[in-house]
Amino acid sequence: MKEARAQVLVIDDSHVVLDHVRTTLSGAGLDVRVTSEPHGATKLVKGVDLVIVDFHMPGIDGGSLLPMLRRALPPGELCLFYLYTSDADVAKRYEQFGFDGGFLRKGDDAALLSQVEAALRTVRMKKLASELRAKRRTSKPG
Amino acid sequence: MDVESPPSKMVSDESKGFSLSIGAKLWLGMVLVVGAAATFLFFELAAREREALVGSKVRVADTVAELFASGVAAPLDFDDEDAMGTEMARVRKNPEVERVGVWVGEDLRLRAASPKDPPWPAPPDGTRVSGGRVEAVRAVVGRSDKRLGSVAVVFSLAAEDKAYEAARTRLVWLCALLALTTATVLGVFTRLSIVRPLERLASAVRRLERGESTAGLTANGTDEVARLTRAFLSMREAVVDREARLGDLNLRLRELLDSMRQGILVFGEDRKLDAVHSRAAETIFGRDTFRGADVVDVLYGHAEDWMVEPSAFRDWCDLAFQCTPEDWEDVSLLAPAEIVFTKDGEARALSLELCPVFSGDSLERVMALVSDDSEKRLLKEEAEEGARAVSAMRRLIATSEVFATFLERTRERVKRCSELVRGPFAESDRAEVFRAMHTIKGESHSLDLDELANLAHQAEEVLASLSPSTELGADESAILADGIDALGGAVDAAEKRFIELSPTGAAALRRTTVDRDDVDKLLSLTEGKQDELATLAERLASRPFGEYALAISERVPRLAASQGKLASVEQIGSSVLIPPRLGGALSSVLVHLVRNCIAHGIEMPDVRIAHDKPELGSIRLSCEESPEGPRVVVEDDGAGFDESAVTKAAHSSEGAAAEGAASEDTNPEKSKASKTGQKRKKKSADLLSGRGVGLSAARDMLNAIGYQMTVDSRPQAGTRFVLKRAPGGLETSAPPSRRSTGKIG
Repeated sequence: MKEARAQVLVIDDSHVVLDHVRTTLSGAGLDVRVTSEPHGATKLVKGVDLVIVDFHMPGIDGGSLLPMLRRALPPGELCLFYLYTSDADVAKRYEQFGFDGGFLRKGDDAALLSQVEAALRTVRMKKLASELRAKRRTSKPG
Repeated sequence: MDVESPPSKMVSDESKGFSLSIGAKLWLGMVLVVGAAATFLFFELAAREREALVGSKVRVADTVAELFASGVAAPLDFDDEDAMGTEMARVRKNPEVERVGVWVGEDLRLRAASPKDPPWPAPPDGTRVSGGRVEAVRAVVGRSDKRLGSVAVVFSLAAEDKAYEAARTRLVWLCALLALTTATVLGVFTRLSIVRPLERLASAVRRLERGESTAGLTANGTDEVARLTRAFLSMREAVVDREARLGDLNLRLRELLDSMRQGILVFGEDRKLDAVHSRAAETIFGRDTFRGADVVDVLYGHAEDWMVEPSAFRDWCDLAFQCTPEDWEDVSLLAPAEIVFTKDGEARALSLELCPVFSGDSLERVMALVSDDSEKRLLKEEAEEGARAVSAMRRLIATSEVFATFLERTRERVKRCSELVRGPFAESDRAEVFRAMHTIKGESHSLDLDELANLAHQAEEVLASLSPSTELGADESAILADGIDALGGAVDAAEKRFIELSPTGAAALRRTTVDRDDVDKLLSLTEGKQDELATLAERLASRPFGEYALAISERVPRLAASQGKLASVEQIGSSVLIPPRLGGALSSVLVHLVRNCIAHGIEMPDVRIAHDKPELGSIRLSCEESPEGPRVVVEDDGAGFDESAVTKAAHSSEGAAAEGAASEDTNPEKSKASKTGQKRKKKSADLLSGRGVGLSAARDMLNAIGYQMTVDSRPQAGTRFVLKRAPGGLETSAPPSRRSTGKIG
């Protein structure tokens, strides 16, 4: 199975964080898009495997932004949305906000990279599971 | 490979609810049967006893009644009242006779009876038993066989009843004794022949289960228990033989797997680990038992709740156990190739290989092969770091001018694009920004600046998604502006990295390539002159300090390691220009001074720790501008040394011995180092320090070109060498020949 480069979108109001995350994830061979504009981010989710969203942003929080991002996702496209925060209280409630998971320890590059890779593996597993199911359906007689 | 003992699967003796042993059940059954039989026997015997007693009484009554009837026949026939009274009195003398009656005539009138008797109608002939009495009635026949009347005698059964009660009591005791004796005999027999042999057999089964000896168990006789015992003994032989073969197989497997030096774990669909594992697994994960543990907990036991990796591995397990052999290749690619496992507070890099064990089309087990690659990873990272440094160096050397031009042009383009996307943004502006991004992307790729290339590519994609007639909205504008700002930041970061990697620092971006022979010729033409041209010629011939310091800086860790020490170099002032005269000697001087720092200054790691210093020794090479020209400082944080001893050693034919003395005099803690370390250090010091003459030679070389070196060494604080132009030293002169320098020590 030959995989295309995984695409990651990072939404954060801090340019410093965005630069840091982009450098870390790009260095690991990931195709990284970053934006500090939450509202414009809906135009960038197409084709993305993983969206990493900051929670505390001016004007809108990550929990409010998430439904807009999900709506902007083309039908049938698989993408995971993860919260990126150092706020442990917010992180505990990631499911309540509708996120698929959360990355803590903002600023810890090693922790971020390994968790992002694990999350991307989860995305690819979901895609593969879907493919295998489709394959079995077609291979069944009748 | 270890195989843990499985927990007992035998049914526990402690079953829920009330339960009786088979012996108790048999005994209870026997008691019930014997009790029922004894009761039946008792009633049967009692009935017979009563029947015998009453029968005897009936016979007596019959006889007495017949005698009485014949006795009163004559008195009745002759109407002799006295005789009849006498006959009645004789009968009544019998204490068991309750009543006597005589009836006469055809109508059977009561002729005589006991005075106290109530009116008594004549009963029919015969003998009857009722109400604890026997009533015998007979006809009285006269001389001509004429019936004269009837007589009745009533006997009491009180004596028989009393005798019956006594017999009954005797029978109760007799039957009870009989039942008890029978039950006891049967119980003892059952215990000896059934219960006890079964208990011995059950005990042997448990001992066999625990792997203990079952010696002493024998099968005697031919009954069912003996046959069961013989069957068990045969089974025991088979089990022991099979265990021996399994043990042998396990031993060989263990030797095989342990020789692989990999941690081997096996788990099934429920993610529970089997007992089988390799010794290396115990070492890697720091635990003895794995049976029943969740593989995710073992591999990621150190993980914090928020971490995604454990849940990703759980997802992988779910997916893997749904796949067929032909899907495995795709599924295995999604497994983690490595994990970071924290043991005793130390993070270890573990590589993970997952091998399937299929049964038909379904995955039965997964074997996890785990290797501790921490050391290998460290070496690889060091090698990669070295390769990256070499690659960056080559690129710097080859493209420093190209890179400087690229930075300049890219900044201009970024600035222009930033203005355009924040403005009205006409169609022509979009085309210009697109061209600029495309150019930046291409140039970045050519310089291996992937991050810059990616940013430019993303901006290109946003622009390409806009139709020509579409105006740039606020969102698109903000995204583009962000992207272009990020591009500017990435250009700055690339320049910063370039300067960090360059041995000459920022100076590399200001320099251009010229022919060295031309420079030498220019210097010779201006030799001895003090004009501006001569000054410029000397500046042109000058090289950044970093170029001279680079070679020795890179060698420091290796040189220190050869002595069992740890040392790093910090380089400051890389871009300060070194005039050609000093430059001709500086490389060699730096080599001698740094070697001296390692040989005589930096202590062994254990000694440094003992003095509350970090294990890693530090050597600093710095250069700064001063009115007299560049001032170079070489300093370390070692033990300090006695310069006079080293200098003396330089002039001594016993250089090696003197050096050792200097080392011990000034560095007493070295004598405390281990003998092994001393031996290794001594051997290496001879090679490294050039028998002590290097320091003296360096001073001579500097003096020859008008420079001087001062040394400041303090015990436990380190040594500091300062190189600067000597008062009245040569101001400007042609450099020494490039081929004549560096022969020191």
